[in-house]
Parts: sequence; structure tokens; C-alpha cells
Amino acid sequence: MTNTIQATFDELVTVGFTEPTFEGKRPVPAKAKFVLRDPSNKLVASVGTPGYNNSLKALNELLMQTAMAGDPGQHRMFAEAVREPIRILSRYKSWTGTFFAEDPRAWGDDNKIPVDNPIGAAFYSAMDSRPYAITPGVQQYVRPQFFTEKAELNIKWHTIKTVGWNIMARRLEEVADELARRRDAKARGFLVAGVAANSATHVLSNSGNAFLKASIDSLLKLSAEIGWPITQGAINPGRLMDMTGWTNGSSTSLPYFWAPENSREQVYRQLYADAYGNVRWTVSKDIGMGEIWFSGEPEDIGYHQTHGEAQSASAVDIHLMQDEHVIYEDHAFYIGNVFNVWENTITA
Amino acid sequence: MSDVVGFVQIINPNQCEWVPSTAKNAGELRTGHLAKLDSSGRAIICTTGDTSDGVVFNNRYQTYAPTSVYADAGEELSLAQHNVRMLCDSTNFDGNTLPSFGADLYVGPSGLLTTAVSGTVHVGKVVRSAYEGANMDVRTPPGGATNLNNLVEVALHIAYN
Repeated sequence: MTNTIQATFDELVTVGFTEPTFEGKRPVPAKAKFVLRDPSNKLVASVGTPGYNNSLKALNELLMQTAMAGDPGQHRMFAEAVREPIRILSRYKSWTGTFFAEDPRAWGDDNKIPVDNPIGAAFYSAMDSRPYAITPGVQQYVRPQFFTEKAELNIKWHTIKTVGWNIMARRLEEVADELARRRDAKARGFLVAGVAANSATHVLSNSGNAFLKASIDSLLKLSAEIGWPITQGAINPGRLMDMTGWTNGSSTSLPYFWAPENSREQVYRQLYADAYGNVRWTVSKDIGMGEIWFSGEPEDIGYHQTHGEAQSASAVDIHLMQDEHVIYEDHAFYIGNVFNVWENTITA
Repeated sequence: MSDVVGFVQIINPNQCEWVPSTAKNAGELRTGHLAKLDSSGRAIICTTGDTSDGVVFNNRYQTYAPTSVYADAGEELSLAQHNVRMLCDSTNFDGNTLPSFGADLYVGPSGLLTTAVSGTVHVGKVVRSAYEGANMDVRTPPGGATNLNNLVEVALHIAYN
């Protein structure tokens, strides 16, 4: 995949990347060749070869060459081509996917899922008596309802010419983040409904505006008791760092005095320790501070159905002088075992 | 979600008479209900005071993968008659209450068994609620040590005359 930046003025500056983007990070090419050409396509400056490995270093060298050339116009042109605005909106971190097993379906498939109906039984009898016959009954199915989420991004041609940096890439990242946020909101609704089905035991609330050791201890015990032990959790990183306040009893006890040494070191370095209760954490700043979600493995919870990857379509509107990009995707969620999801709600 | 309804099992299928029929109305009959036949031989749900023609058994072998346990109008089903023994939990009884050992059973509302006497037709009794002091029970979700569903064994006499 290549990414092209267009600069201001009438000149065209191309900067080529050879690496695709990946979630949460800007394009960081492993190999790059940078060139600066004027409108007549005359080579102004270049650095690197196809084997050049340090792209950022190459970029800086090209910038230096341009600057040393003494042409402020060229320098400014190139600087605007590679200087993007400093982010003020942190990337969205999706978190609900860990609770659902993926179940991709083709368009037109019957998305039925069989429903479990346990009936296995055995009874005391006598040597010459008949057994009690047990017969499986109706195999019921559910068909989760798909929902579609869409986004449209229109980029004016004059915007592309004016801004001088890869604005479309940044705005598309935000679109992708918003699609993920909407998807998570729907999935979270299923988690909420799931724990509500057994709220007396599967929703544990504590006040004090903190993640308490007593809360997770209680949920771990309850889940183990019924045979659906908690193995993973989803939490806001700021909330997870409440571990720094955990003690083991009286206020005179040192925090974590009974914990393994490497756990104490982790708390010292990162304000939380991994693997308490063998819980595997999904950490996302986009989980509210008032909730922590726990569950077993996703294949023992439910399904996330899709119609393949997100689809996109682009068009050019010559009347409005803009490029138009539409992205859409279908999702459905289903929880088959509400006993395998737990919530710790935290209030002030 | 599903409309799986409790635990009801005909435990002596080889000793029953199995009569074919079809459901007259959609969404009315499921396995375990008491049903009666109309003049066209179609099955409709019993209510208090009716004489039952059998206990419904219907596994709904539909190609469209049914989401409900209830039969469609015109859907084939079977009625178990004569000496029918069933294991039931409380969902198969009027009032959702498990009757006690020895209780007489009558045709109740909505195809359920009832212990109420007045104006009802006697169909059987509770013949077992425990064995050697241990409950008749089955495990239920989520599956912990105390997630048990108590059952009773009923003996019914249906459609002998």
C-alpha cells in the first residue's frame, strides 16, 4: 500500500510509504525512498534506496537537504508535506471482541444458532425394572438480528490542496474508531442484558470509587462455585491502577506484602500487577470507570456474527468537487450462556 | 432467546399408544401438554373440565430450523395415550407448583396438570417424588452443586374410553 501526501502551492510533492498502517499507530515504513520533484517533474532532492531501512532518518535527511538548498519555498513545501497536526483525540481501543466467538456468515446465509437444552438424567432403579427413558426434544434455534453501521467521509478537492498533509488518513482513522465504538456499544448492550438475567449474583456493586480486591475475590469465588470460572476481564487502565491501594486486612498492613516479588515490582512500575486470580485483562481507556466486565472464554459465552470485513465504496463528485468515501459493516451479537458473564459496578 | 420450557419427559414410550394428529392452531401445543381431538381429528389444547385424548409429543423436525417449541397450525405431532408415565418439573403443573407425593391429578387450564378437584377430569396421580429418600431431580444451568430441578413421576390414564 502506498500513501501520498500533497503539498500546498501548485507543486506536487510525493512521499512514498511501503508499509501498510496498523491499528493504533501511524504509518511507519520499513523501507522508503523519498523524492521531491517540482511541477516539471524535475528531481529536486532525494534520499534512500529501495534497501534503505530507517525511514525516519531518511526523511530527516531529505528535509535537511531541502533546507540546505536555500529555497524557502521548497523547504516549506516539503515541511508541510510531512508535518501532521499533533493528535488531540486518542485512538479508540475496542474491547468487547474478547467476549464473543467470531462467527462470520456469508450474505444470504441462514444465521441460525442452535440453543442448548440440557436434559441428561439418570435415576436409581432396580435390577428387573425398566430405566426412565429420556428423549431430547425440539432443537430450537435463534437468529440474531444484524445491524448495519455506516460512515461517510467527503474530502473537498480544495481541502486536499490547502492543508498540505495527509488529512484523509487521519480522518479515516477517526471514522474507523467511531465504527468500532458503535460496535462496542451494541455488544456492551448484550453484556448488560446478560448479567441482568441473573443480577443478584452476576452484578456486584461496590462504592468508594475504586476497584476493590474484595470485589474481584467475591466474583472469582462465585464463578468457580458454579463451574464457569472467570478467566478474563475488561477494565479501564486507570481503574486497574486502583490495585495500588489494595491491602490485606488492617490499615497497618503493607500493600501486597503477601504477593510474589515480581507482582510487587509490577505494581511499583506500572501501578498494577498482571495475573491476579489468573485473570487475563483487556485494558481499554474506552471502558467506563464505573464498570468492570468478567467472563470465561468467548466460545462458552456467545457469538459475534458478521458479513465479512467492512465494505467501502468511493466516488468523485465533480459538481461538489469532492471525493466521497463510504464504509459500512454488518454485525450481530448473541449470548448463549448468561451465566458466564459478570459485572462489577463501581460507584462514588 | 428461546422459549425452552422446563423438564417434561415421557419415560415409558414403549408402553404408550402413539396416535398421530396435527395441530389445529399455531403457537398452542408443545411436548407435555394435554390435548384433545376435534371432530376433524386435529389436536387442540385442553382446558379445565376437558377430557384429554393424549399427551403431546412433538420434536418439530422442520427444515426451517424452528425457534419455538410450539407447533405451527397443521404441523404433525403425536399423542401418547393409555398408560403414560412422565417425569415433570413444576412448569407442567398449573400454578407452577410441584405437587406432593400421592396427589391426584386432573386436566387443568392451558394443557397443564392440576391438583384442583372441582369440575375437573381425573387423569392420574403423582406416584413418585423421591427414591430411597433422594429427590428425583436433574441438574440445571449454570451447573453448580445446588442448581437442581426437582421432579415428580406421574402416572396417567388417558383415552381408555
